[in-house]
Amino acid sequence: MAFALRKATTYLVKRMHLRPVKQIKFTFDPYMKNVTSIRDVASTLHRPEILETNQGTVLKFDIKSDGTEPRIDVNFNDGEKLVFKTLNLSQLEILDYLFEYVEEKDPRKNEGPELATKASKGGGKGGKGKKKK
Amino acid sequence: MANKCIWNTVRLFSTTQRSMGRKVNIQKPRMPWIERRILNAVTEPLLPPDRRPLPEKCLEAHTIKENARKSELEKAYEDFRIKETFNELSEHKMVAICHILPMTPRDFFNVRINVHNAGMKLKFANNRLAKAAVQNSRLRNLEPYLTSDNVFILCEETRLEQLMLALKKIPELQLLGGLVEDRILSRAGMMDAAKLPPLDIMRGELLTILSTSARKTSSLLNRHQTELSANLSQLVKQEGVGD
Repeated sequence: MAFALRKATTYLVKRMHLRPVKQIKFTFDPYMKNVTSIRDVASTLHRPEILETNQGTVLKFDIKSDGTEPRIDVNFNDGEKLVFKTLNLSQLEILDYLFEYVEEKDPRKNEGPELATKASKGGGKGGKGKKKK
Repeated sequence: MANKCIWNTVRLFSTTQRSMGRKVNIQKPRMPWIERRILNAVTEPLLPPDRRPLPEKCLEAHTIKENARKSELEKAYEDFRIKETFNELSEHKMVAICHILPMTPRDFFNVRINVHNAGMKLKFANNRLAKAAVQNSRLRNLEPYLTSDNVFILCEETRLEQLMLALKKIPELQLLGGLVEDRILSRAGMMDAAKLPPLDIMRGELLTILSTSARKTSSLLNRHQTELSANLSQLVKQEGVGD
């Protein structure tokens, strides 16, 4: 079971991107129970390869000490807001829901795949050919 | 004839294969002789099928594997690490618990340098071991902090101001709380404590406050006598002028 969860989480982490996301705010009280999931998600979204997908995304921490319930506020570029109350959610569930929304709003969704030509690969004609004098 | 019979019997019960002077291929062993195969088939134990549910079977296999992996030496090493973690946490006056975000090795190196320059040291501890270390000890209330990716910043003296200055430069470390002079403080508590002046100045202020009330009480008690003597002296002065 643990293996399956790990595999599913890895699958999502590899495909996760923040292209349509403007801001993500993590609010939690570290002394409360069930904050592991939000902390794990924060760590996951701070991975360099995910952050590189949109360098304009602002990731904020709001660490409180008043027994606040953990929540993630996601602001999208189109003005839509998404709130996760993560008290009873696992890391996989949060990532799954977030991935669903992010995929739906992905600006690159309607773009076709990039054509892989010889010129785009860089190099074009190599240096192996005979040079004309 | 007798020799052949004996040879066949020996071949049947021998556990090793004959190499016949050739190099034995271990990766692809030769198929045994027909007599040997018959013997193997006949002597193969017929066990009843295991009808237990799959999770139960997996759990048993896992337990057997774990027990085989564990040894006395490993347990002693684990105990040593638990003891070391407890000593690290209890011997330092200031222990800040931070959430560490993933970063490149180069960034991590810079973080280490920044923390070292502030006169502190960075310590990683496995959450399982740290929980075992604080369990049933005076630090047991630190347990809720010990989940997810944690890192400890240790210092032998209470230097909250330097800690805050250092953490301002390191966004990869998010302060969660900590243990300052045997008191568990939240993030807000640590930030408030960092703003306070040094302990000597605080003591001086406390002394001033304490002496102020005493001075006020004594002045209030002496007020009537002072007023009376002032009035009398004024009266004497006025009578002297009248004469």
